[in-house]
Amino acid sequence: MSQPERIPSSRTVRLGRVQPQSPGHRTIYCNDREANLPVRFKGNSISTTKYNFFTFLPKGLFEQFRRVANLYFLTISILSTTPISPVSPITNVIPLSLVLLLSLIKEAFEDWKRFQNDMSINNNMIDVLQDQKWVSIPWKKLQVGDVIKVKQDGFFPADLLFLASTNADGVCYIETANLDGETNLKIRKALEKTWDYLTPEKASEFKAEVQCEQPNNSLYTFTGNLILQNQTLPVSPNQLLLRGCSLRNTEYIVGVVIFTGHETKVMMNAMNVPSKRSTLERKLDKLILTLFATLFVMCFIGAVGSAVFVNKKYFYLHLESSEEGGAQFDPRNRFLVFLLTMFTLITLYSTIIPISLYVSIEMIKFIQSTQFINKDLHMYHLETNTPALARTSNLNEELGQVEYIFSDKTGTLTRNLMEFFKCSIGGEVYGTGVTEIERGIAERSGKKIEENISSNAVREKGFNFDDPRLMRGAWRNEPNPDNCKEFFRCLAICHTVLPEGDESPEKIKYQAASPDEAALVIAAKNFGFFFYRRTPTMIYVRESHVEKMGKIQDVPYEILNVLEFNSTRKRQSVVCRYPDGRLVLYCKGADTVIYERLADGNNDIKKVTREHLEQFGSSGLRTLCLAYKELHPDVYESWNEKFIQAKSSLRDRERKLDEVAELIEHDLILIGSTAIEDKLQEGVPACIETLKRAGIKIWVLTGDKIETAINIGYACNLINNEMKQFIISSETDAIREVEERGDQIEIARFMKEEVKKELKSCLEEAQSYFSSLSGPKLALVIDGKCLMYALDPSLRVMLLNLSLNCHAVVCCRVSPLQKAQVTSLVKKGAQKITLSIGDGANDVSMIQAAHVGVGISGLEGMQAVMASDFAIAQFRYLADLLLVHGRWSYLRICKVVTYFFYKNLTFTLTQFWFTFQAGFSGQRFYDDWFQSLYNVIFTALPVIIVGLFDKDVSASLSKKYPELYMEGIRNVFFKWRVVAIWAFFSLYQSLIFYYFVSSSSLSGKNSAGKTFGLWDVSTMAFTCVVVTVNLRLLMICNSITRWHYISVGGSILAWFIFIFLYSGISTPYDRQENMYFVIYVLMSTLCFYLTLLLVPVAALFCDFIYQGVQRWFFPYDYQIIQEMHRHDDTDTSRAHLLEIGNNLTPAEARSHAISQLPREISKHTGFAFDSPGYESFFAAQLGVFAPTKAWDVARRASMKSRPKIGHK
Amino acid sequence: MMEPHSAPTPKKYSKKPKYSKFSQQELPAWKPILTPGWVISTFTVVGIVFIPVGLASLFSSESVEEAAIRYDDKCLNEIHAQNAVAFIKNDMTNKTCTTSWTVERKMQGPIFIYYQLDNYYQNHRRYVKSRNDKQLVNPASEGDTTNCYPQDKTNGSMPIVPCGLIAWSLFNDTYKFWVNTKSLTVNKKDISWGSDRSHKFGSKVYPKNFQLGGLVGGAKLDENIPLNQQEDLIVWMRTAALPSFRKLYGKIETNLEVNDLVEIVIENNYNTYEFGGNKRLILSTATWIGGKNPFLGMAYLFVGGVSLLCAIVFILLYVIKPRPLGDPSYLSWNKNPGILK
Repeated sequence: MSQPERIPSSRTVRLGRVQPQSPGHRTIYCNDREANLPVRFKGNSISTTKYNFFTFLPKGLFEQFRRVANLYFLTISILSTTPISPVSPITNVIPLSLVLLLSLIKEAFEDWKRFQNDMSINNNMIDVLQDQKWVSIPWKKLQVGDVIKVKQDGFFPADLLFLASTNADGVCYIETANLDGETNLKIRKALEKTWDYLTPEKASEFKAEVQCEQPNNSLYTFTGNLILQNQTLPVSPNQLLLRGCSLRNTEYIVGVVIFTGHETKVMMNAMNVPSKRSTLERKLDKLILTLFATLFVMCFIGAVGSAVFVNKKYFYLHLESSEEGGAQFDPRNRFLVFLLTMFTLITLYSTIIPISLYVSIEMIKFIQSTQFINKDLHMYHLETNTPALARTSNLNEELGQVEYIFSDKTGTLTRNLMEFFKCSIGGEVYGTGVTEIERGIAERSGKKIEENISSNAVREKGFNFDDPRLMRGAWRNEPNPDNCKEFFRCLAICHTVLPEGDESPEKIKYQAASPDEAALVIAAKNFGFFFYRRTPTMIYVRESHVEKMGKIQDVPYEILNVLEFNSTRKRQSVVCRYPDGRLVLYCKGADTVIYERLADGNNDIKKVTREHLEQFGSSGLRTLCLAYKELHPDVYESWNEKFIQAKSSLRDRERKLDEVAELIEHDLILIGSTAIEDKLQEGVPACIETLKRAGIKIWVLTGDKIETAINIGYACNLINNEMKQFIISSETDAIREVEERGDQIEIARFMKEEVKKELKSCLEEAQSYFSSLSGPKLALVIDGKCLMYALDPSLRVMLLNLSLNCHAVVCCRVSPLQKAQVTSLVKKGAQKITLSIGDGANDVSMIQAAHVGVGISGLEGMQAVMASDFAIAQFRYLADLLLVHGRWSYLRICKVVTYFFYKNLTFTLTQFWFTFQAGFSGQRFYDDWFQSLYNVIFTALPVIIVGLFDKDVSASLSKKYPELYMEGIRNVFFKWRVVAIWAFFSLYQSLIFYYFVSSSSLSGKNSAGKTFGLWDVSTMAFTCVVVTVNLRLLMICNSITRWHYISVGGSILAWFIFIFLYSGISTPYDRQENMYFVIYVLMSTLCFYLTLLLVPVAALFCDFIYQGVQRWFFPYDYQIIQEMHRHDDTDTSRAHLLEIGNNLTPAEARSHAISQLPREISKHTGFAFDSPGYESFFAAQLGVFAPTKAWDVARRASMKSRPKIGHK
Repeated sequence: MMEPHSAPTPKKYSKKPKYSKFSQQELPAWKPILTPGWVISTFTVVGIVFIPVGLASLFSSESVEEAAIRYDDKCLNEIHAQNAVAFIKNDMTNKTCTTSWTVERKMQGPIFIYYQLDNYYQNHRRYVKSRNDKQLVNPASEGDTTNCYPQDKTNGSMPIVPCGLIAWSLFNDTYKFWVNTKSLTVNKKDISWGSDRSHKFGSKVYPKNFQLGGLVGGAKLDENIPLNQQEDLIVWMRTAALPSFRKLYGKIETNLEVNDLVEIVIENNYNTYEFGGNKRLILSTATWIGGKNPFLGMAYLFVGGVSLLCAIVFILLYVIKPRPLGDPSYLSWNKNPGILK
């Protein structure tokens, strides 16, 4: 609490209160709780629970009754309390309450876990400044404006404004792993004015006011001003410490709480992923609707029958007398009879809708995802310590039906492990390495490449380069050593990398935003320009061989400005001051943007370098252009003023900074280019090959240049030379010509025409191939600009037709938004099941758009994972996820659903047949308890066991024969035909049950000549139903574990135990008398046993014939595979096959990939480098939350080109 | 839900899932394959088991002697045939009717006498629930006539015991038998299931106010005999499952020899004419499977026979159209390589 005597002093600083506050701002009085009181900021305690103690029951029940099935059964239960009901309420109430209870327990359990988690977080302790002392209070007591101290390795309890740290120069290091999954450290720097407020005594003097934006969910932006001692200081994300991050390498820091609790950026980001429903479940809804229709028809028939039946002549029924509900049978009003009987029969036949279906499926899927997918050792990645994670259990079976995979490239197919591989300096190529692609090309053309890696070549992670002309100072003897020097300096200075650890070349670690950057800095180190220390204003480089060979000197460069990378700029610049006062701007970026900004002249170098860029690009390398520019101090000063102005602006800061940067980044001098190898992920080619065999079509959507993308396509087996490639690119001369003229409208019109023309011709060609059986496989490559027009509603159909005929589609240069558009094009347009896989923030929209979203968990940010339905560590695990888990889940859920359908239909139909012989009165055939426990006890468990354990072929065979997966794509196991077959057998079986049991009921049943009554017959029939339905389950199993025996035997046993008890005791409750002693009566007759043997066999007879014929004459693929491997010893074969299927070594995978490479040198001209990795780090969440409209894409595209025009 | 703060646990612990056969889905399992061998042997086994059982059942069913005599039409003379309902409802008319039947094969005692009603809906919802089991077993609950309307109370609001439509419509035809002018005793003891007598009908519950209403549905009960000894009622109240049903009337403990002429005197009281039902009198012996029930044996024989037939057909099919087990050429993608396109 602030002390009374200090209030006046703090009041004097409150300048902001006089000014009218724009609603977009919040004003915080630091270190003054009372002043903040009127605003009522939210507290710092968080709650992620759905319910509390009081709302749990009403809210939880409400949630449950939002399901149609539950609502239906509630209605039925209410109906069954009325006299028109033939059954007592327990028939429907018991199953419903059991189902609800189970669901509520699950909800409560999950919510309890969330609550405990919240509690432990809220009760963490933090040091807060009170009375010039640090006082420890729990997190939840923290308030906006408090000054707090966070110690090393501690978590920030709220979003803080960074004031002071124990490090020199007011910096601290934070780890953002919880926020975005990145484990590298980030640097944050406090404002110079606040550096001193470190001790409690000093900090208590800190009286200031913060004006800043309202809470929002953008993790990487923050604008605000700190008003301290009548000075307004701009505050940027650099001074913001976000909740969820932790402090590293810093003893402690002091900060002011800005946003608390649910208003912190991390909590604002914690959105619930919109829940997806699987396609199978939607089909299930249709089945349920069909069942409703059947129910209606049955009731209608029964009701008409009843209306016709009622007649005064059945005097013993007293049909005309009206007691309560007695009017139901009044022959004088047949329409009323019809109506009331309708309702009666709806309650009677309600079992046709399987009440426990949804809860059973939910349980099965929950166990499938938590026990099978999450715990699969085959999907555990040791290096990153990441198991697979099913973030939703809704989509397990969807994984078994995926037909289209949309994959991101960087980080997903490729490793995002960048190694400095080659470079071009001053028109000369350096680097002796040969890429996989080049080697493949060479081997195809018959050449053998001898790789003589010299023994003293430097090898380290991120650096795979050797050229004696450059190493160990040899560059001094090259034709243009100055150029080399600038090249190396640019690498060493122009970056945002943080050095960590010991300042020696061997031990230093670089923390970089993207692996490219780290690779470049490592390269500089190996070239003798060792960047070893960074302070907020300085970069220290240990330069060797600069003055003369062998001389090593430490050179401090003052960093004046950093013009950061973002997706629109595609470049990064640093303005630095040499120790001798020289001002130099170093710039690196994509070739297109750099070439636009080069000074005139030096055309030779430009031309040669461009050729080199093309070379690099076609070798699958990622390129960056380096340039520099000397600055005149006056020019710089005047520019710097504008820069500072832009930097402190509250609104549109980003845009203004970009504009200011544009003013200085021109007339650059080209130094050269770098080429970085992007390593493929382990096992990618093999996995893609497997998935292709499984009938899955893979589309690569990447931000890379078309050439890089095609090369990666080759490298990972997606495209090969046997395929016919359609390339629709915006990089044609005609388009370029129009673009030169710069008229946006004309460009758009022209592009659209071009794209239309291209699409048309490609489609015609594709169709001609398609009509001829032996045509080649097709591949489509399209770039983002063309795609923008192709996605136009008028061309969309053509694009879809073309792409659906293609086996591989590569879309390059696409924005995140376009990724999503392409995904939904196939999802909605073709009605195919799609899966998106990606690792970065730029994949979020695509992941959310697809039926199934898969995130790569591991190195890059967590955003893709947070948006995904499944997270796996490696692309190759997709084979396990789809071919094993997905296929099994699909198979199992299909079996569960069809079996549920069958067992309830069979049961209800026996009841239906009885209706015909009971005067359509709606008399129940079975006892209430039989009916209510049928679904929840006597037939509940075995089907769950099938849903968990059934497997047709083993996991390894699933991967060995990926073609099996096609059964899922074609939805072989849940077609209407399948349902119809089940329905047919239901019909047959129900007739057997009813007529076999009832037809022999006439005569005496034992040697004492006694006969059976209604309840004896129905109990016998019910026993037959329970036994048969459980045995039928065994017939659908492909593998029978001990759990099958236990559950099936247990269910049948449960029925007998139940009936022994139920008919053995005599309670005074209504109706139970009917059943008294019935089972003992039955069991005293031989007839019962004879029936019990006969009826199930007769009922299952047709099913058995069907299965025998089906298997022998129309076998499913999986059945053939089962037969082929019937003698396999499961364990050994699994281990053996595993090695083939999964653990392909990188070398093997590569060699496989190489064999697929093109024969002649491709004409790719890959000169651009454009890394989605950058974008994900800088979180240009472009398109993630943007509306998916075509005009929006156009607007974005035009925005990108605007600065270019302005510049020229 | 993204909640980042749960991580203050030690950083380097392995998230490697623990191995278990369950989670790796490697539980030992029997993987049956429905090979022709299995199919044929299953059919054969079913055939081998079912045919003898069927033969035994059928044989014992055939050994049962059964005679069915429809009398509802016979017991109407031509005058009354025109107006059967009025005849049956009239208390004054003489409903005694005599018929005779010659024994065709020897019937070993005990011979069971059943009456069979057709088109009689004892399983109608209205009918089935029209009883009160508490009242039947417990003298204290005699006032409890829930569900019994309209046969719950007399006009004077006295509870009817036993109440309800079932009891009210109690069958009341009677039969008397003479063989060669010698009267046969009909034993009416132990014609109901013992459990009914001991638990569902009380030994201290006596009929009260029964059949006093304006409309008499059927038989009257002796008010001095407790319900658990009113076996006709007990049998009647074990309602039948189907609209055609037989109920045990009594037993004849002696044998009937071939060509014995049995004279039957029927009191044709029960009104089935109104709803067009039939009445039959059944005389039947019983064996270990009960009365004559050829269906069970036939069904067994049929299933067993078809089973054997199937076995043969399948053998022939496999000979005519053989398929080597596990032949990869039957895989869909091998049969039709274009499918991958």
